[in-house]
Amino acid sequence: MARSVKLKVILSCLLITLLLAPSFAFGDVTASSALDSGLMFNLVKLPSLEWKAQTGFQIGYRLFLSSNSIYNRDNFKRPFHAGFLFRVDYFSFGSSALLSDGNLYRGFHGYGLGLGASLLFAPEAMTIFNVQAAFVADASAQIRVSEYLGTPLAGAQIAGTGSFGIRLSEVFRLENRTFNLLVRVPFGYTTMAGASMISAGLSLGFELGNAPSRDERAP
Amino acid sequence: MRKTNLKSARLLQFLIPFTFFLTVSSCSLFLSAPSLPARHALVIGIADYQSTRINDLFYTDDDAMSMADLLAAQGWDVEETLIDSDASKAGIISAIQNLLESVPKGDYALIYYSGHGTESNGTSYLVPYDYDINSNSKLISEDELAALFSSYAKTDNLIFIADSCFSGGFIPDTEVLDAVPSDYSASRFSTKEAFPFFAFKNLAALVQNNADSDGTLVPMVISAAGSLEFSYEDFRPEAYNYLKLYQHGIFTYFFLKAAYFGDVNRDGFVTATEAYHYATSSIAKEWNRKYGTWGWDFYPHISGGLRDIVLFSNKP
Repeated sequence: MARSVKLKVILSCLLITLLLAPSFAFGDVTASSALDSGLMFNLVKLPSLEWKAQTGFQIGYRLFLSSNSIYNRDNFKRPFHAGFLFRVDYFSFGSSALLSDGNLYRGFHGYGLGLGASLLFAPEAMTIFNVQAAFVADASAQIRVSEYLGTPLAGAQIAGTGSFGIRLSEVFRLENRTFNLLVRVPFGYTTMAGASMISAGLSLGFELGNAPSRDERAP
Repeated sequence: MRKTNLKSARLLQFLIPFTFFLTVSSCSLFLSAPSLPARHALVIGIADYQSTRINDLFYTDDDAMSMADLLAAQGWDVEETLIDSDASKAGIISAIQNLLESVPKGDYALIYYSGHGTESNGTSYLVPYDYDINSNSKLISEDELAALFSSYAKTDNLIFIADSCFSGGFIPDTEVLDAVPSDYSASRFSTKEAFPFFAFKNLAALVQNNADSDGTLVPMVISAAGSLEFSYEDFRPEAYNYLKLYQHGIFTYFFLKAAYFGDVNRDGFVTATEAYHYATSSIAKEWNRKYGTWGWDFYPHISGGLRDIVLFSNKP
Protein backbone atom coordinates (compact mmCIF):
# COMPACT_ATOMS: atom_id res chain seq x y z
CA MET A 1 0.00 0.00 0.00
CA ALA A 2 1.29 3.43 -0.88
CA ARG A 3 2.64 5.40 2.02
CA SER A 4 0.16 8.26 1.59
CA VAL A 5 -2.77 5.79 1.55
CA LYS A 6 -1.49 4.15 4.73
CA LEU A 7 -1.22 7.52 6.39
CA LYS A 8 -4.76 8.43 5.39
CA VAL A 9 -6.08 5.12 6.75
CA ILE A 10 -4.24 5.60 10.04
CA LEU A 11 -5.45 9.18 10.39
CA SER A 12 -9.03 8.20 9.58
CA CYS A 13 -8.96 5.39 12.16
CA LEU A 14 -7.49 7.78 14.72
CA LEU A 15 -10.17 10.36 14.02
CA ILE A 16 -13.00 7.83 14.26
CA THR A 17 -11.59 6.45 17.49
CA LEU A 18 -11.30 9.90 18.97
CA LEU A 19 -14.77 10.86 17.82
CA LEU A 20 -16.19 7.81 19.56
CA ALA A 21 -14.13 8.44 22.66
CA PRO A 22 -17.18 9.19 24.81
CA SER A 23 -18.13 5.56 24.47
CA PHE A 24 -15.00 4.66 26.30
CA ALA A 25 -15.43 6.97 29.22
CA PHE A 26 -14.27 5.35 32.44
CA GLY A 27 -14.70 6.04 36.10
CA ASP A 28 -15.75 9.59 36.89
CA VAL A 29 -14.04 10.90 33.80
CA THR A 30 -16.26 11.57 30.84
CA ALA A 31 -15.24 12.72 27.45
CA SER A 32 -16.90 14.53 24.65
CA SER A 33 -15.49 15.19 21.24
CA ALA A 34 -16.26 17.84 18.70
CA LEU A 35 -15.51 18.54 15.08
CA ASP A 36 -15.78 22.04 13.75
CA SER A 37 -14.68 24.09 10.81
CA GLY A 38 -14.88 27.69 9.87
CA LEU A 39 -13.55 30.71 8.09
CA MET A 40 -10.55 32.39 9.63
CA PHE A 41 -8.91 35.76 9.23
CA ASN A 42 -5.27 36.23 10.02
CA LEU A 43 -3.77 39.66 10.62
CA VAL A 44 -0.04 39.48 10.04
CA LYS A 45 2.84 41.90 10.37
CA LEU A 46 6.57 41.65 9.88
CA PRO A 47 8.49 44.35 11.80
CA SER A 48 9.42 46.30 8.68
CA LEU A 49 6.15 45.80 6.80
CA GLU A 50 2.56 46.78 7.44
CA TRP A 51 -0.36 44.78 8.81
CA LYS A 52 -2.32 42.82 6.26
CA ALA A 53 -5.08 40.23 6.37
CA GLN A 54 -4.94 36.69 5.11
CA THR A 55 -8.09 34.64 4.86
CA GLY A 56 -8.40 30.92 5.17
CA PHE A 57 -10.12 28.16 6.99
CA GLN A 58 -9.59 25.86 9.93
CA ILE A 59 -10.87 22.39 10.66
CA GLY A 60 -10.55 21.26 14.23
CA TYR A 61 -11.10 18.27 16.44
CA ARG A 62 -11.49 18.77 20.19
CA LEU A 63 -11.60 16.25 22.97
CA PHE A 64 -12.86 17.43 26.38
CA LEU A 65 -12.18 15.45 29.49
CA SER A 66 -14.17 16.33 32.56
CA SER A 67 -14.58 14.76 35.98
CA ASN A 68 -18.30 15.61 35.92
CA SER A 69 -20.52 14.75 33.03
CA ILE A 70 -21.43 18.09 31.57
CA TYR A 71 -24.37 16.43 29.93
CA ASN A 72 -26.03 15.30 33.09
CA ARG A 73 -29.06 17.48 33.58
CA ASP A 74 -28.52 17.34 37.31
CA ASN A 75 -25.16 18.87 36.84
CA PHE A 76 -26.66 21.73 34.90
CA LYS A 77 -27.88 23.00 38.25
CA ARG A 78 -24.24 23.77 38.87
CA PRO A 79 -23.63 26.13 36.00
CA PHE A 80 -19.85 25.97 35.75
CA HIS A 81 -17.97 22.99 34.41
CA ALA A 82 -14.28 22.80 33.73
CA GLY A 83 -12.23 20.21 31.98
CA PHE A 84 -9.09 19.43 30.07
CA LEU A 85 -8.97 20.03 26.38
CA PHE A 86 -6.98 18.28 23.68
CA ARG A 87 -7.26 19.69 20.20
CA VAL A 88 -5.98 19.01 16.69
CA ASP A 89 -6.41 21.56 13.95
CA TYR A 90 -5.71 21.84 10.28
CA PHE A 91 -5.43 25.42 9.07
CA SER A 92 -4.78 27.00 5.72
CA PHE A 93 -4.33 30.65 4.81
CA GLY A 94 -3.92 32.12 1.35
CA SER A 95 -1.39 34.80 0.54
CA SER A 96 -2.27 38.35 1.50
CA ALA A 97 -3.14 41.06 -0.94
CA LEU A 98 -0.37 43.35 -2.06
CA LEU A 99 0.99 45.72 0.58
CA SER A 100 1.46 49.35 -0.28
CA ASP A 101 5.21 48.81 -0.71
CA GLY A 102 4.76 45.99 -3.22
CA ASN A 103 5.47 43.09 -0.87
CA LEU A 104 2.93 40.55 0.29
CA TYR A 105 2.71 37.76 2.82
CA ARG A 106 3.00 34.15 1.77
CA GLY A 107 0.19 31.69 2.26
CA PHE A 108 0.76 28.74 4.51
CA HIS A 109 -0.99 25.70 5.87
CA GLY A 110 -0.32 23.28 8.65
CA TYR A 111 -1.43 21.31 11.67
CA GLY A 112 -1.67 22.20 15.32
CA LEU A 113 -1.69 20.04 18.43
CA GLY A 114 -2.87 21.72 21.58
CA LEU A 115 -3.49 21.14 25.27
CA GLY A 116 -5.52 23.41 27.45
CA ALA A 117 -8.58 23.95 29.56
CA SER A 118 -12.22 24.33 28.72
CA LEU A 119 -15.05 26.01 30.60
CA LEU A 120 -18.78 25.64 30.20
CA PHE A 121 -21.33 27.98 31.71
CA ALA A 122 -24.86 26.67 31.46
CA PRO A 123 -27.53 28.65 33.28
CA GLU A 124 -30.55 26.46 33.38
CA ALA A 125 -32.85 29.18 32.14
CA MET A 126 -30.80 29.79 29.05
CA THR A 127 -32.53 28.30 26.05
CA ILE A 128 -32.40 29.06 22.36
CA PHE A 129 -35.19 27.68 20.15
CA ASN A 130 -36.32 25.72 23.20
CA VAL A 131 -32.98 24.00 23.36
CA GLN A 132 -30.72 24.17 26.39
CA ALA A 133 -27.83 26.48 25.56
CA ALA A 134 -24.51 27.11 27.22
CA PHE A 135 -21.61 29.48 26.95
CA VAL A 136 -18.35 27.72 26.18
CA ALA A 137 -14.82 28.99 26.30
CA ASP A 138 -11.43 27.40 26.11
CA ALA A 139 -7.78 28.29 26.02
CA SER A 140 -4.85 26.19 24.95
CA ALA A 141 -1.19 26.24 24.03
CA GLN A 142 -0.58 24.73 20.68
CA ILE A 143 2.43 23.49 18.81
CA ARG A 144 2.09 23.99 15.10
CA VAL A 145 3.87 22.65 12.08
CA SER A 146 3.36 24.59 8.90
CA GLU A 147 4.48 24.81 5.33
CA TYR A 148 4.51 27.79 3.01
CA LEU A 149 2.03 27.07 0.22
CA GLY A 150 3.71 26.11 -3.04
CA THR A 151 7.05 25.36 -1.40
CA PRO A 152 8.61 22.45 0.48
CA LEU A 153 9.62 24.77 3.35
CA ALA A 154 8.43 23.47 6.70
CA GLY A 155 8.56 25.26 10.04
CA ALA A 156 7.17 25.02 13.55
CA GLN A 157 5.68 27.54 15.93
CA ILE A 158 4.06 27.76 19.35
CA ALA A 159 0.68 29.45 19.44
CA GLY A 160 -1.72 30.60 22.09
CA THR A 161 -5.25 29.83 21.02
CA GLY A 162 -8.70 30.06 22.44
CA SER A 163 -12.32 30.29 21.56
CA PHE A 164 -15.65 31.33 22.99
CA GLY A 165 -19.09 30.56 21.77
CA ILE A 166 -22.44 28.99 22.35
CA ARG A 167 -23.40 25.36 22.52
CA LEU A 168 -26.90 24.11 21.83
CA SER A 169 -27.24 20.93 23.82
CA GLU A 170 -28.96 17.76 22.74
CA VAL A 171 -30.10 18.96 19.37
CA PHE A 172 -30.28 15.31 18.54
CA ARG A 173 -30.14 12.31 20.80
CA LEU A 174 -29.61 8.65 20.18
CA GLU A 175 -29.85 6.40 23.25
CA ASN A 176 -27.32 7.88 25.64
CA ARG A 177 -25.39 9.65 22.90
CA THR A 178 -26.03 13.38 22.47
CA PHE A 179 -25.34 15.60 19.51
CA ASN A 180 -24.74 19.24 20.33
CA LEU A 181 -24.27 22.16 17.98
CA LEU A 182 -21.40 24.57 18.50
CA VAL A 183 -21.00 28.11 17.22
CA ARG A 184 -17.60 29.45 18.14
CA VAL A 185 -15.32 32.38 17.65
CA PRO A 186 -11.83 30.91 17.61
CA PHE A 187 -8.85 33.23 18.02
CA GLY A 188 -5.15 32.94 18.49
CA TYR A 189 -1.77 34.61 18.56
CA THR A 190 1.55 33.36 17.34
CA THR A 191 4.79 34.56 15.86
CA MET A 192 5.93 33.05 12.60
CA ALA A 193 9.23 33.91 10.97
CA GLY A 194 9.42 37.00 13.15
CA ALA A 195 5.94 38.16 12.17
CA SER A 196 3.14 38.74 14.65
CA MET A 197 -0.08 36.98 13.78
CA ILE A 198 -3.50 37.51 15.27
CA SER A 199 -6.19 35.22 14.00
CA ALA A 200 -9.93 35.14 14.54
CA GLY A 201 -12.86 33.60 12.79
CA LEU A 202 -16.20 31.93 13.03
CA SER A 203 -16.70 28.20 13.16
CA LEU A 204 -19.58 25.80 13.22
CA GLY A 205 -19.38 22.32 14.56
CA PHE A 206 -21.02 19.46 16.29
CA GLU A 207 -20.13 17.75 19.50
CA LEU A 208 -20.69 14.18 20.42
CA GLY A 209 -21.11 13.40 24.08
CA ASN A 210 -22.55 11.05 26.61
CA ALA A 211 -25.66 11.64 28.67
CA PRO A 212 -27.39 9.44 31.14
CA SER A 213 -30.36 7.65 29.71
CA ARG A 214 -33.69 9.23 30.58
CA ASP A 215 -34.28 6.51 33.17
CA GLU A 216 -31.00 7.28 34.89
CA ARG A 217 -31.72 10.97 35.25
CA ALA A 218 -32.64 12.37 38.57
CA PRO A 219 -36.24 13.49 38.70
CA MET B 1 -23.34 1.01 -2.86
CA ARG B 2 -21.70 1.90 -6.08
CA LYS B 3 -24.00 4.88 -6.49
CA THR B 4 -23.22 6.06 -2.97
CA ASN B 5 -19.52 5.83 -3.63
CA LEU B 6 -19.97 7.72 -6.84
CA LYS B 7 -21.93 10.43 -5.06
CA SER B 8 -19.29 10.68 -2.34
CA ALA B 9 -16.55 10.87 -4.92
CA ARG B 10 -18.41 13.61 -6.79
CA LEU B 11 -18.98 15.48 -3.56
CA LEU B 12 -15.29 15.23 -2.73
CA GLN B 13 -14.37 16.28 -6.24
CA PHE B 14 -16.38 19.41 -5.62
CA LEU B 15 -15.38 20.04 -2.03
CA ILE B 16 -11.61 19.73 -2.40
CA PRO B 17 -11.20 22.27 -5.22
CA PHE B 18 -13.78 24.47 -3.50
CA THR B 19 -11.88 24.66 -0.23
CA PHE B 20 -8.60 25.22 -2.09
CA PHE B 21 -10.20 27.94 -4.16
CA LEU B 22 -11.68 29.49 -1.04
CA THR B 23 -8.30 29.67 0.63
CA VAL B 24 -6.17 30.96 -2.19
CA SER B 25 -8.66 33.31 -3.71
CA SER B 26 -10.33 34.76 -0.67
CA CYS B 27 -7.49 37.21 -0.28
CA SER B 28 -9.04 39.09 -3.16
CA LEU B 29 -11.64 40.28 -0.63
CA PHE B 30 -8.92 42.52 0.69
CA LEU B 31 -7.56 43.75 -2.60
CA SER B 32 -7.22 47.45 -2.74
CA ALA B 33 -5.70 49.32 -5.66
CA PRO B 34 -2.21 47.83 -5.53
CA SER B 35 0.82 49.49 -7.01
CA LEU B 36 4.25 48.07 -7.56
CA PRO B 37 7.38 50.07 -6.80
CA ALA B 38 10.03 50.77 -9.45
CA ARG B 39 11.80 47.54 -10.39
CA HIS B 40 15.38 47.18 -11.60
CA ALA B 41 17.14 44.12 -12.96
CA LEU B 42 20.56 42.84 -13.85
CA VAL B 43 20.65 39.83 -16.16
CA ILE B 44 23.69 37.62 -16.69
CA GLY B 45 24.10 34.72 -19.12
CA ILE B 46 27.29 32.90 -19.99
CA ALA B 47 27.38 30.24 -22.68
CA ASP B 48 30.80 30.59 -24.31
CA TYR B 49 33.54 30.49 -21.71
CA GLN B 50 36.96 31.99 -22.25
CA SER B 51 38.82 28.85 -21.31
CA THR B 52 38.66 26.00 -23.79
CA ARG B 53 38.94 23.64 -20.83
CA ILE B 54 35.44 24.51 -19.69
CA ASN B 55 32.56 22.99 -21.60
CA ASP B 56 30.57 25.72 -23.24
CA LEU B 57 26.88 25.77 -22.61
CA PHE B 58 24.34 26.14 -25.37
CA TYR B 59 21.30 28.02 -24.17
CA THR B 60 22.34 30.09 -21.16
CA ASP B 61 22.85 33.24 -23.25
CA ASP B 62 19.37 32.68 -24.71
CA ASP B 63 18.07 32.27 -21.16
CA ALA B 64 19.47 35.67 -20.22
CA MET B 65 18.16 37.42 -23.31
CA SER B 66 14.69 35.88 -22.96
CA MET B 67 14.60 36.81 -19.27
CA ALA B 68 15.70 40.39 -20.05
CA ASP B 69 13.00 40.66 -22.73
CA LEU B 70 10.33 39.31 -20.41
CA LEU B 71 11.31 41.58 -17.53
CA ALA B 72 11.38 44.61 -19.82
CA ALA B 73 7.94 43.69 -21.18
CA GLN B 74 6.75 43.39 -17.59
CA GLY B 75 7.86 46.90 -16.75
CA TRP B 76 11.18 46.09 -15.14
CA ASP B 77 14.04 48.45 -15.88
CA VAL B 78 16.75 46.08 -17.11
CA GLU B 79 19.80 48.11 -16.16
CA GLU B 80 22.36 45.80 -17.68
CA THR B 81 22.51 42.50 -19.55
CA LEU B 82 25.89 40.78 -19.35
CA ILE B 83 26.43 38.10 -21.97
CA ASP B 84 29.51 35.90 -22.26
CA SER B 85 32.68 38.04 -22.26
CA ASP B 86 30.90 40.91 -20.44
CA ALA B 87 30.33 38.55 -17.55
CA SER B 88 33.86 38.27 -16.18
CA LYS B 89 34.18 38.12 -12.41
CA ALA B 90 35.08 41.80 -12.25
CA GLY B 91 32.25 42.62 -14.66
CA ILE B 92 29.67 40.71 -12.64
CA ILE B 93 30.76 42.17 -9.30
CA SER B 94 30.89 45.68 -10.69
CA ALA B 95 27.43 45.32 -12.25
CA ILE B 96 25.97 43.98 -9.00
CA GLN B 97 27.53 46.84 -7.02
CA ASN B 98 26.20 49.40 -9.48
CA LEU B 99 22.73 47.92 -9.41
CA LEU B 100 22.52 47.68 -5.63
CA GLU B 101 23.93 51.17 -5.10
CA SER B 102 21.54 52.69 -7.60
CA VAL B 103 18.35 51.03 -6.38
CA PRO B 104 16.79 53.11 -3.59
CA LYS B 105 15.14 51.65 -0.52
CA GLY B 106 11.72 50.28 -1.32
CA ASP B 107 12.38 49.56 -5.00
CA TYR B 108 12.86 46.03 -6.29
CA ALA B 109 16.28 44.76 -7.40
CA LEU B 110 16.51 41.47 -9.29
CA ILE B 111 19.66 39.64 -10.33
CA TYR B 112 19.33 36.74 -12.71
CA TYR B 113 22.22 34.42 -13.55
CA SER B 114 22.35 31.57 -16.04
CA GLY B 115 25.63 29.76 -16.56
CA HIS B 116 27.91 27.22 -15.00
CA GLY B 117 27.93 26.67 -11.26
CA THR B 118 30.21 24.54 -9.19
CA GLU B 119 30.64 23.33 -5.63
CA SER B 120 33.58 22.61 -3.40
CA ASN B 121 33.64 21.54 0.24
CA GLY B 122 30.02 22.50 0.75
CA THR B 123 30.34 25.94 -0.82
CA SER B 124 28.55 26.83 -4.04
CA TYR B 125 30.10 29.09 -6.68
CA LEU B 126 29.05 30.94 -9.81
CA VAL B 127 31.48 30.42 -12.69
CA PRO B 128 32.20 33.71 -14.48
CA TYR B 129 33.35 33.95 -18.11
CA ASP B 130 37.05 34.32 -17.24
CA TYR B 131 37.25 31.42 -14.80
CA ASP B 132 40.49 29.51 -15.11
CA ILE B 133 40.31 25.88 -14.13
CA ASN B 134 43.70 26.15 -12.40
CA SER B 135 42.60 28.87 -10.01
CA ASN B 136 39.48 29.25 -7.93
CA SER B 137 40.09 32.96 -7.44
CA LYS B 138 37.89 33.76 -10.43
CA LEU B 139 34.86 32.00 -8.98
CA ILE B 140 32.16 33.90 -7.09
CA SER B 141 31.29 32.11 -3.88
CA GLU B 142 27.99 32.19 -1.99
CA ASP B 143 29.74 34.13 0.78
CA GLU B 144 31.10 36.73 -1.63
CA LEU B 145 27.67 37.22 -3.11
CA ALA B 146 26.02 37.47 0.33
CA ALA B 147 28.66 40.03 1.34
CA LEU B 148 27.92 42.07 -1.79
CA PHE B 149 24.23 42.01 -0.99
CA SER B 150 24.68 43.06 2.62
CA SER B 151 27.29 45.73 1.83
CA TYR B 152 25.68 47.50 -1.09
CA ALA B 153 21.94 46.86 -1.04
CA LYS B 154 19.85 49.77 0.18
CA THR B 155 16.61 47.99 -0.59
CA ASP B 156 15.22 45.01 1.28
CA ASN B 157 13.40 43.86 -1.84
CA LEU B 158 16.22 41.90 -3.40
CA ILE B 159 15.72 38.80 -5.54
CA PHE B 160 18.45 36.53 -6.84
CA ILE B 161 17.58 33.82 -9.36
CA ALA B 162 20.28 31.33 -10.36
CA ASP B 163 19.89 28.78 -13.11
CA SER B 164 23.12 26.90 -12.54
CA CYS B 165 24.38 23.66 -11.07
CA PHE B 166 24.74 23.55 -7.28
CA SER B 167 22.90 26.87 -6.97
CA GLY B 168 21.00 25.74 -3.86
CA GLY B 169 24.01 26.88 -1.83
CA PHE B 170 23.01 30.49 -2.46
CA ILE B 171 19.78 30.07 -0.48
CA PRO B 172 20.20 31.93 2.83
CA ASP B 173 19.33 30.26 6.12
CA THR B 174 15.92 31.12 7.51
CA GLU B 175 13.60 29.71 10.15
CA VAL B 176 12.36 26.85 8.00
CA LEU B 177 13.70 23.52 6.87
CA ASP B 178 13.64 22.56 3.21
CA ALA B 179 11.97 19.18 2.96
CA VAL B 180 13.54 18.46 -0.42
CA PRO B 181 17.11 17.21 -0.06
CA SER B 182 19.93 19.13 -1.73
CA ASP B 183 20.70 16.06 -3.85
CA TYR B 184 17.13 15.34 -4.88
CA SER B 185 16.33 12.18 -6.71
CA ALA B 186 12.77 11.32 -7.70
CA SER B 187 13.48 7.65 -7.11
CA ARG B 188 14.62 8.25 -3.53
CA PHE B 189 12.35 11.08 -2.47
CA SER B 190 8.70 11.71 -3.05
CA THR B 191 7.70 15.34 -2.88
CA LYS B 192 4.57 14.10 -1.15
CA GLU B 193 6.80 13.79 1.88
CA ALA B 194 7.26 17.53 1.73
CA PHE B 195 4.21 18.52 3.71
CA PRO B 196 3.92 19.95 7.17
CA PHE B 197 4.41 16.65 9.02
CA PHE B 198 8.00 16.79 7.79
CA ALA B 199 8.57 19.46 10.43
CA PHE B 200 8.03 16.88 13.19
CA LYS B 201 11.39 15.38 12.25
CA ASN B 202 13.17 18.46 13.61
CA LEU B 203 10.47 19.95 15.77
CA ALA B 204 12.59 21.35 18.59
CA ALA B 205 15.11 22.94 16.24
CA LEU B 206 12.40 24.48 14.10
CA VAL B 207 10.55 25.92 17.10
CA GLN B 208 13.85 27.39 18.28
CA ASN B 209 14.60 28.78 14.80
CA ASN B 210 11.19 30.38 14.72
CA ALA B 211 11.66 31.89 18.17
CA ASP B 212 15.05 33.27 17.15
CA SER B 213 13.76 34.79 13.93
CA ASP B 214 13.43 38.57 14.20
CA GLY B 215 11.64 39.04 10.89
CA THR B 216 14.53 40.78 9.15
CA LEU B 217 13.93 40.68 5.41
CA VAL B 218 16.56 38.55 3.72
CA PRO B 219 17.15 38.45 -0.05
CA MET B 220 14.74 36.11 -1.76
CA VAL B 221 16.72 33.46 -3.62
CA ILE B 222 15.44 30.95 -6.13
CA SER B 223 17.85 28.29 -7.33
CA ALA B 224 17.40 25.89 -10.21
CA ALA B 225 18.98 23.02 -8.30
CA GLY B 226 20.02 21.85 -4.87
CA SER B 227 23.46 22.58 -3.48
CA LEU B 228 24.62 19.09 -4.41
CA GLU B 229 23.04 18.55 -7.79
CA PHE B 230 23.20 19.57 -11.41
CA SER B 231 20.66 21.56 -13.32
CA TYR B 232 20.15 20.92 -17.02
CA GLU B 233 19.55 22.64 -20.31
CA ASP B 234 17.93 21.36 -23.49
CA PHE B 235 19.83 19.00 -25.73
CA ARG B 236 22.00 20.49 -28.43
CA PRO B 237 20.64 20.58 -31.98
CA GLU B 238 23.13 17.95 -33.11
CA ALA B 239 22.05 15.53 -30.37
CA TYR B 240 19.95 12.59 -31.49
CA ASN B 241 17.32 13.29 -28.86
CA TYR B 242 17.02 17.02 -29.58
CA LEU B 243 13.34 17.84 -29.54
CA LYS B 244 13.44 21.61 -30.08
CA LEU B 245 11.12 21.66 -27.12
CA TYR B 246 12.80 23.86 -24.59
CA GLN B 247 15.78 25.59 -26.25
CA HIS B 248 16.64 27.03 -22.84
CA GLY B 249 17.84 25.92 -19.49
CA ILE B 250 15.06 23.66 -18.24
CA PHE B 251 14.43 25.71 -15.12
CA THR B 252 14.48 29.01 -17.00
CA TYR B 253 12.15 27.66 -19.68
CA PHE B 254 9.46 26.93 -17.12
CA PHE B 255 10.20 30.02 -15.06
CA LEU B 256 9.61 32.16 -18.15
CA LYS B 257 6.32 30.35 -18.75
CA ALA B 258 5.31 31.04 -15.17
CA ALA B 259 4.84 34.71 -16.10
CA TYR B 260 1.83 33.63 -18.14
CA PHE B 261 0.59 30.49 -16.41
CA GLY B 262 1.82 30.76 -12.83
CA ASP B 263 -0.88 32.92 -11.24
CA VAL B 264 -2.30 30.30 -8.88
CA ASN B 265 -4.70 32.53 -6.97
CA ARG B 266 -5.70 34.53 -10.05
CA ASP B 267 -5.13 37.87 -8.39
CA GLY B 268 -3.35 39.21 -11.46
CA PHE B 269 0.13 38.90 -9.98
CA VAL B 270 2.70 36.13 -10.25
CA THR B 271 4.80 36.20 -7.11
CA ALA B 272 8.25 34.69 -6.71
CA THR B 273 6.66 31.80 -4.81
CA GLU B 274 4.04 31.21 -7.49
CA ALA B 275 6.65 31.31 -10.27
CA TYR B 276 8.82 28.90 -8.29
CA HIS B 277 5.86 26.59 -7.73
CA TYR B 278 4.93 26.60 -11.40
CA ALA B 279 8.51 25.93 -12.54
CA THR B 280 9.06 23.21 -9.93
CA SER B 281 5.86 21.31 -10.61
CA SER B 282 6.41 21.59 -14.38
CA ILE B 283 9.95 20.25 -14.10
CA ALA B 284 8.69 17.36 -11.99
CA LYS B 285 5.96 16.53 -14.50
CA GLU B 286 7.70 17.17 -17.78
CA TRP B 287 11.44 16.71 -17.24
CA ASN B 288 12.03 14.56 -14.18
CA ARG B 289 9.46 12.02 -15.29
CA LYS B 290 11.22 11.55 -18.63
CA TYR B 291 14.85 11.88 -17.62
CA GLY B 292 14.78 10.92 -13.97
CA THR B 293 15.60 7.35 -14.90
CA TRP B 294 18.82 8.66 -16.45
CA GLY B 295 19.66 10.31 -13.14
CA TRP B 296 19.05 13.78 -14.58
CA ASP B 297 16.25 14.74 -12.23
CA PHE B 298 16.66 17.89 -10.18
CA TYR B 299 14.57 20.08 -7.91
CA PRO B 300 14.59 23.87 -7.61
CA HIS B 301 14.71 25.51 -4.19
CA ILE B 302 13.51 28.79 -2.71
CA SER B 303 14.37 30.75 0.40
CA GLY B 304 12.07 30.94 3.40
CA GLY B 305 10.46 33.78 5.28
CA LEU B 306 6.91 35.04 5.28
CA ARG B 307 7.46 37.82 2.77
CA ASP B 308 6.77 37.28 -0.92
CA ILE B 309 7.57 39.52 -3.90
CA VAL B 310 5.65 40.14 -7.11
CA LEU B 311 7.68 39.26 -10.20
CA PHE B 312 5.15 39.45 -12.99
CA SER B 313 1.81 41.13 -13.40
CA ASN B 314 -1.11 40.56 -15.70
CA LYS B 315 -2.62 43.86 -14.69
CA PRO B 316 -2.34 46.77 -17.10
